[in-house]
Amino acid sequence: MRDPLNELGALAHQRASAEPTPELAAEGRQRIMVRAADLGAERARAWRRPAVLTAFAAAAAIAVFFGVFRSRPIGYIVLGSGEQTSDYLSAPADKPAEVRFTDGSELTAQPGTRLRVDQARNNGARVLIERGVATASVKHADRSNWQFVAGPFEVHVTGTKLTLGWDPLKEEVDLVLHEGSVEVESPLARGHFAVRAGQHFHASLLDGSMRVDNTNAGSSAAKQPEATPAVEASSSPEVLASKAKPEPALAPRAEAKLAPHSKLNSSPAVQSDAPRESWPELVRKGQFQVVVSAAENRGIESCLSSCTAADVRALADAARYSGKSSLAEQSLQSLRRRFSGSGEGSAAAFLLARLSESRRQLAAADGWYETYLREAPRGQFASDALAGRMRAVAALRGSAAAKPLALEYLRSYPDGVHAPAAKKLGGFD
Amino acid sequence: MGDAELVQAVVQGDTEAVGVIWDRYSTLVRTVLRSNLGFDSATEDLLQEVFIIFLRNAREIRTGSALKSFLATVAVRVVLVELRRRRVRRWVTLTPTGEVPEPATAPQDEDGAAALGALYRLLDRMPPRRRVAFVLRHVEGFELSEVAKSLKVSESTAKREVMKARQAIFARAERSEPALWHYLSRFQEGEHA
Repeated sequence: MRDPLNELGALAHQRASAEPTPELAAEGRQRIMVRAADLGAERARAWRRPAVLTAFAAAAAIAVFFGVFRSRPIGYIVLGSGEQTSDYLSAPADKPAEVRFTDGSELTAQPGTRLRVDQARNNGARVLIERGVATASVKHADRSNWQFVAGPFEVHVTGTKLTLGWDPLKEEVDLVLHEGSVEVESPLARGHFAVRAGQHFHASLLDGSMRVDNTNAGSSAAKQPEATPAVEASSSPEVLASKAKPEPALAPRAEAKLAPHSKLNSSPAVQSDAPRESWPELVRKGQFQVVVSAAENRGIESCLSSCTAADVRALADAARYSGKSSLAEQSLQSLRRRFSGSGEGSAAAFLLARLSESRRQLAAADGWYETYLREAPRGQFASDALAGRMRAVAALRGSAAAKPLALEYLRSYPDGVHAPAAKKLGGFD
Repeated sequence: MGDAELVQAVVQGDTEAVGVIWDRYSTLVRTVLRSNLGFDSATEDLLQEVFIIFLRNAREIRTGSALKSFLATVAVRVVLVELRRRRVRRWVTLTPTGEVPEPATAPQDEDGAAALGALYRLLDRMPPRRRVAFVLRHVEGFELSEVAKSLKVSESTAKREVMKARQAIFARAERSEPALWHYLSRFQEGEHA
């Protein structure tokens, strides 16, 4: 006799295997390729940071060698750790562990948390939270310099009390400021985000979203305005819903207060406060469809010929992230025509290159990458543009033709994210 | 191009390789997501999540042959997270409205469709791990060892979860889901054999 649940399961499988519509399949493919391109750019930026750190580390080592730094690094003891091998601390599943630093700073790792004191300096330390939640009370002093790292997020502290949690499975970070203020460096946006006492910062790498809410965690929470980015965020699809409802203080594995999905291509209905917000702001909140609809209501042609550079760029981004590549191209071409010579005009060249590459229009892609490099040789996308040229030329004319570009890439960005590919093309592998 | 070369190309930033991998495996991943979660608007977003996790972790895939199982494992992980999210939000249903998931093409077997709806209603009441263990075994046709690997549990635990799910389905179907009970009984009586 056949297993009836297997028979029913086969029916379920048959239904689940139904092909999606071609439009849906194409949209999904486009979305992931855009995301892959964006991740490549993020990684390129992240790879440059270790190079700078390495340089600083080397300088510090030389300074120590010559006796410039005579003070000793900060010391610490660990209490209640289930495991402390070298600099690792692993709090037991049923009770917290504490780290007490010689400058009076303290750190409490919640049960199950695993962290590492990565660097102990004379004026602070760098603490890596591998998973779980830790509360730190950092003693303020002149020149004090502490960093707390949760995944790719880095929190810069001079003196404060904070709770920081990192869930490596969900790739989500939560930060609650009880006292003082900190700056958060996030891979989801350019610049640092200032977070103040009484605020809760949440970011999800998977969603590409960030938000800051007021909480009642800090003594001065009610008086603090919402966080503002210290530097304007990039127009990538992050969400900074800075006026979200207040939430309770951070709790480990806080599934109960997870926000609903806010995905790259989410298409929320036009919201009541939309008219009050600028298009770049709406793009930062992930409301791409709202921006596209607003442009359509106004008239696309009219907008492309009269909107500001920031609005046209926002429209281009909204179109890119909602899979409307034709509108994205129109918007970027408008930026090229109307704002040539500006930063937005040059960035448009890079984005047009990306668009062409995703369509396998490699000659066009190469041309746009070259244009960008000519106009912004030290621009933020320069390494990616050079790598893009390398790929396009290799595909169009073969590895030998791309070799000079590979060598140029390695000279300019020896630790860049595309260095392995460049080495392969350059024959160094 | 083989999986190994594609993974290597993705690691080196080749977005076109991402497209090829999408063409090759998005159907598999979509099927795993749908068979576990049903048809709803979140499926395509979750599919993106799976591939984004792949993009972020491509360096860790040692051999090309591991790509398929890596994607399937990530899909299961995403399903578990999603089920827990829904549970927290009291969305313990196949669709946000609580209706039986709509397939892209309606099956001819109306009794089967009714039984399937009932089956998923029962699955909705199970703990996420048990539900996923059952779906992987009976819908996706995984071996117990594959179920265990996907859920990161021992084989005996996987076996126990599948058994408990089966027992619960039979017990609850008899009690509260007549369409499913009728369907299962007919099979046992050999009507469909």
